[in-house]
Amino acid sequence: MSPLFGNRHTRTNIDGIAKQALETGRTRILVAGALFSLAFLAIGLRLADVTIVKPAGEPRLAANKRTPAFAAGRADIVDRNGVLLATSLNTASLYANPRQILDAREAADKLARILPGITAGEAMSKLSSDRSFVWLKRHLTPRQQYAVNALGIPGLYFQREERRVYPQGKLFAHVLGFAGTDGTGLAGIEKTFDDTLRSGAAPVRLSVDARVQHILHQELQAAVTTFRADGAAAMVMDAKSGEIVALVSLPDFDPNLPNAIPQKAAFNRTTLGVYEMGSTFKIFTTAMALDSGASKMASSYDASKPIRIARFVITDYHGKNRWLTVPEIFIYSSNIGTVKMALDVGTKRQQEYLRRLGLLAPAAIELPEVGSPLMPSPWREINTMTISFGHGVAVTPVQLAQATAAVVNGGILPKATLLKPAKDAATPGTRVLKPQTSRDMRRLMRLVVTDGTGTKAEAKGYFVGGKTGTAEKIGARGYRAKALVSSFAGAFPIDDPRYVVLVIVDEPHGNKQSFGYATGGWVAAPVVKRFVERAAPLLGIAPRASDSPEVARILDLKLPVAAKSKPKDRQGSDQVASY
Amino acid sequence: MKGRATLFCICLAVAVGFGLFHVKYKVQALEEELARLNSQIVHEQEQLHVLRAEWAYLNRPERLEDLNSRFLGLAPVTPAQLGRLSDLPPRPIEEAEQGEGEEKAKDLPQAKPVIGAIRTGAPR
Repeated sequence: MSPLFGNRHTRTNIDGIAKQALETGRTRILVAGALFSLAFLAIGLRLADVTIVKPAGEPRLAANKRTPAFAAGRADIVDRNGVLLATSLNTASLYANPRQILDAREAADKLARILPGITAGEAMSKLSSDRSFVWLKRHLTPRQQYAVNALGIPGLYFQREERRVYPQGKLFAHVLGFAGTDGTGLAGIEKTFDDTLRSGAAPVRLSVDARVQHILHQELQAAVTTFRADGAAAMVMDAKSGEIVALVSLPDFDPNLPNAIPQKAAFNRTTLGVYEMGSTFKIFTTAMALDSGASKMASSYDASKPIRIARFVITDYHGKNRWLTVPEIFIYSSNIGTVKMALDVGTKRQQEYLRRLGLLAPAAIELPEVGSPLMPSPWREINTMTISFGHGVAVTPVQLAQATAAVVNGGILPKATLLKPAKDAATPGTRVLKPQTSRDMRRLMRLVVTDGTGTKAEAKGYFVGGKTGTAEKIGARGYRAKALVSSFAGAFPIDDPRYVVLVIVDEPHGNKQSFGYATGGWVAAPVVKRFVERAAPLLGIAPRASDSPEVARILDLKLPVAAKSKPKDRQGSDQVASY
Repeated sequence: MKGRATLFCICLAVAVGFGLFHVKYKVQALEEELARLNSQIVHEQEQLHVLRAEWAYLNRPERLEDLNSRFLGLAPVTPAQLGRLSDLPPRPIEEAEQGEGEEKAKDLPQAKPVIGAIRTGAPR
């Protein structure tokens, strides 16, 4: 018997008390036993539940929560075909703790031998200093890092750093801009989309095409070299969607070396620079005259005498000294005729049309470098007259390209953009001209290239149409006859334009090949020709025979009123008025 | 009877313990392997990233042009080199009937790849 049931000797004495205690003990044992049974039952049930009832519910494989992803830091920028334009690479930077260096002389000699840009003396002074941290070289290449490791010098360490790399070098300098050493966008797309790029999400896809950009860059650079020009700007824009396929501003810079960019090269002439465009502006004067009904294609104006107003005289460079029809005024670039057309349109309507064509407000392009157009205030009649042939209003090349696109694409002003839109996104645009006006303007622009001042832009088979322009730059004392801005604004194929091409050369100098001329017809038009010949196959435009009936039908290639005598020197006849 | 049951229980406990530790070590080894693979994936991704940059750098139009001028001497496509199928003259019927035309027609596939090249060259 267990002691739990008491002692027989004491039973009689304390019988009542012992019994009571015994009862209490039994009850407690019962309760405790019941609790334990319940607990074991619960565990047993759970065990059955887990092992027998729902084993299928358990995952066969553990979820891998640590999905590895390489964090690239700043996101990439790619062109419309996915070609890499900007990326971030992790690099190793070399630093040393001079206190741990055993033999500074030997270490310096070894480092100088394998690292370019470090002299033994320089390294020696750094390594023998009394500090505990000195930078030796930032951003080593993987090969250099390996070589330094192979030296096995104690006291040398690497710090992982990120570096922005532009594999295409100079090519997209003004489109991309550049990022500083701390990874902040300081210009161009890098600045506009700084937040998006920093969040490291998907790459930013631009509308530019690296191949087309290269051709435009090369041809423009050739023109700048040939004519010893101060600079140049050019762009290619999709005539309907406003996507910029190529954008070049010269001189340019290498964004890989953001600390060595000359101020002049950093200036984006295509979007920030404003220029008086000269005769290229006659596209808009003629379009507004036709669109408003102030002139008809068959209207003619007296261009026999110069216009004298106040102290100005407006003349034609190669005056025909007779009445000219609207097409003749346009293709021979007659200032007198254009001024008279503008006067028929009127100051108010001229302002209204220029505003609708987006020429009086800054372009809404995705670059921080956007120039505001310059216009006269108050806008007097004399301003209406000079603006008609492109003097008095200064606009950025991107505005000009946008407005030219509106004139040739059927009359809808597209929004210039550097981003590639989603596949079936509707292209934003507002109607600014009647479709008929656009048809007439395309005919006129084609005539400029076949019979007028722009014959050097003719790229056989691709039907370029456009308008040349030569403006004098404003100097300290009025216009400088020797400092020109020569331009060509055109589109191809002109019967149904796919792309607008704009070339502007700043202060070109005539040479022997151009017989001393530095006008738009001699400087800018050949760039367009060479560009179109090389780029059109890449842009998916097939050449057609020059007598192709489909083109002839649309373009109606005859001058409505034949010129009585063809000018001997067509190329020079787009000179603007000297006053 | 009692002794047998005890022996059985002890054996079972040892076996289960052994199994448990075996699985545990296996899991540990697998976890190590996983961590190693993950870091390798990240490393490879980084390498890919660098290689992609290098690929873009080596494919610069400027460099390709230089290489072309040194080794290939290809010239830009001129309009005269591009044609359409409809520009081809109709197939001479007499020759086809003679049976030699079959082979001659096979010698004329130049037009097709050229047109294909224009299409694929278009920006997407």
